[in-house]
Amino acid sequence: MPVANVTFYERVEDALHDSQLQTALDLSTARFANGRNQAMGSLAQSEALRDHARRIRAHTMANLDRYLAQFADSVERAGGQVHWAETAEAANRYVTRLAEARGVKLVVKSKSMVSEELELNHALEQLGIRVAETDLGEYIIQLAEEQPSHIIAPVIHKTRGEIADLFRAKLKATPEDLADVANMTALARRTLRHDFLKADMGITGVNFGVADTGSICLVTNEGNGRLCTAAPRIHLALMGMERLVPTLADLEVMLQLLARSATGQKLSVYTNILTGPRRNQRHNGPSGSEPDGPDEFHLVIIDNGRSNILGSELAEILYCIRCGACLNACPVYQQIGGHAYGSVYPGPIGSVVTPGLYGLDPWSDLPHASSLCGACREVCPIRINIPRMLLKLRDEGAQRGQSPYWLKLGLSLYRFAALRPSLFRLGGRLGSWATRLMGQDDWVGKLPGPLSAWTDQRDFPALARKSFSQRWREERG
Amino acid sequence: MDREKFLARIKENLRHTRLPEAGAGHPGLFQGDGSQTDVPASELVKDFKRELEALAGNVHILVDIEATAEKILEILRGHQARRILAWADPSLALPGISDALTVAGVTIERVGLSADGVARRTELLQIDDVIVGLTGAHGGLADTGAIALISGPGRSRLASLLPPVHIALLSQSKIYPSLSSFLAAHPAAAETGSNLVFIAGPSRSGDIELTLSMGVHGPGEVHVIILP
Repeated sequence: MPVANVTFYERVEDALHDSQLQTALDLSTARFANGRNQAMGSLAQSEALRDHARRIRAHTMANLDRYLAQFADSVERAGGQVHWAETAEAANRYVTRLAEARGVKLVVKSKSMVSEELELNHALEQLGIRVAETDLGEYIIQLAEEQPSHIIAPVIHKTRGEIADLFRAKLKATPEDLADVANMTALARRTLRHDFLKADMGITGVNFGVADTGSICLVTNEGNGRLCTAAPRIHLALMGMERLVPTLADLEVMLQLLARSATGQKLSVYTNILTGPRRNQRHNGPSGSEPDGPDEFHLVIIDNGRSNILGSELAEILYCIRCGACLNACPVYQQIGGHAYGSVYPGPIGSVVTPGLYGLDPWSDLPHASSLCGACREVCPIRINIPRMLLKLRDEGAQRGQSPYWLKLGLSLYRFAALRPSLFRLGGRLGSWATRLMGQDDWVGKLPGPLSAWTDQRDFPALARKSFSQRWREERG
Repeated sequence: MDREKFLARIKENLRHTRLPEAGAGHPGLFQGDGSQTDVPASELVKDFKRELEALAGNVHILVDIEATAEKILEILRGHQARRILAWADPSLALPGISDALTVAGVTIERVGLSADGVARRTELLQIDDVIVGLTGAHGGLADTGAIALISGPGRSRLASLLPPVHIALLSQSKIYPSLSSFLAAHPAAAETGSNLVFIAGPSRSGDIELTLSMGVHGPGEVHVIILP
């Protein structure tokens, strides 16, 4: 996975000063969060359903080896081929070899986070195989040669004007094509339709695998997930090993929550459940073959660090169903957007998943990109305790000596004073006197030395004239 | 070999994990608190219509084959179209409708894709410019306005996907209160064909500045004709 060559704080700085991004973030996070709240509010027994969904996810993870074995057997029974990939390299090797063996020249791809994690497009393009992203947002990202910034809405950081410029440069769009969003969408439809009809292989992610039927479920609003799995002769699905439910009835519980939490819809436009390749006469007997759909179905089940998460204190993060609700609810995400996190998986969920998959050392800043307010846990359909895991990761970072010297120095000074009441009181009086001397109307505009880092951005409140313990003594007495 | 190693690694990690709320047994079906009341059958059509219309879908409640043929012809005329990409007649809720349309001068196209890549491309190009698709439906979901379609012989996926207009014929008796009641009534829905799809209104995207646009890759216009 690409590690950005600028620091987390530089990326945050850039994001905070990008006024277009700020407008887009305000609009989109508020819209998604409101939609989510309304949709969950209108769902009967939503709280009980969330508890139930959490129990299903927990039970599945606790028995993951057994359910994966059952799932793979079911996929094979339906005529699909299962490949197990321990690493990103192994997954890419399988996909590229298959593509080469089948003479694939063009791949159409439906939005898949795990393929971003694998950097699969790059691996295919190196072999001269063209990959067309077909989700409208992902397509724009691909034209712009950028990274998605949101799990559900990959291109929310771009304005319509920027997208129009891109279409003009890359698709030779006419003014008519760019007259409104409907025309821009129609242009993308026309361009991508050629690719759908020509492609030899469709690659998709998997929202959920169903262990007992061997089905995969793909949820989209545009229909690209359906086209990728109906027109090309080969369908290849990439699945993170944790994206599994035991039964179709369990899938239904997840579907009730997924679209509502993600976009505020009751159900996505297309909930596509696929079981093996298209049936031919061998399956169906004399009644005949299915007229369309792929003749080959390949499923790649990917570990790539997930089993390490499963064996760690972060195992609960594997309950995630990738709705993105925690991004929209997070006050930090609302300010900095997805790119600043520097990882394929942004937001609160990503701040746990990313260090979990790739190790804490390169990603030790992410667990600090949170105010620990708990909004993520509040909106999570599976009630994942993200703040607990962020704290755990911060603790681990501190154990490894990753906290800065000034924090350690400051905390040991505080500890020294806090253990000595008279010193603590003296410190309080000094602080009150000094901040009052420096400030005006109870606010300090400029603090000295390293403390100015605070007042460069905002004022500091002067300490109260009387300390709490002083008032306690007076008012009790 | 890969499989055994893969699963063994999971098993090993499960030995020393901490998974909150993980019960040994499967939690079973969602029971709720029993407060969920079933919608009376008479309300199902009304609910379905309201929900699908809220998603910008069109619902027509018609009585017979003449009225249905007339409605389909009207939609075709609106798009200056004469061809339909259709499911085989027995899979439609109204057997005989194909003949009725043919008599009225409509050309019925069928999907039949080859396993060979080159032939397949030609076959796809031949149907890509058809403007209207006609299918049956295995169910309607009253709480979401979605319809369920199961692929099979004579029942192509592309008829509900490739053309910009999709017309589905649905028997009133196949409207279920919810997704869960549909699945309870069709326990083998995912295994009957290779594809079970729930379609809730026209294809849509909000990717550009969250502005809603219809017909991104799938149909931008959806009609469900409900028959007695």
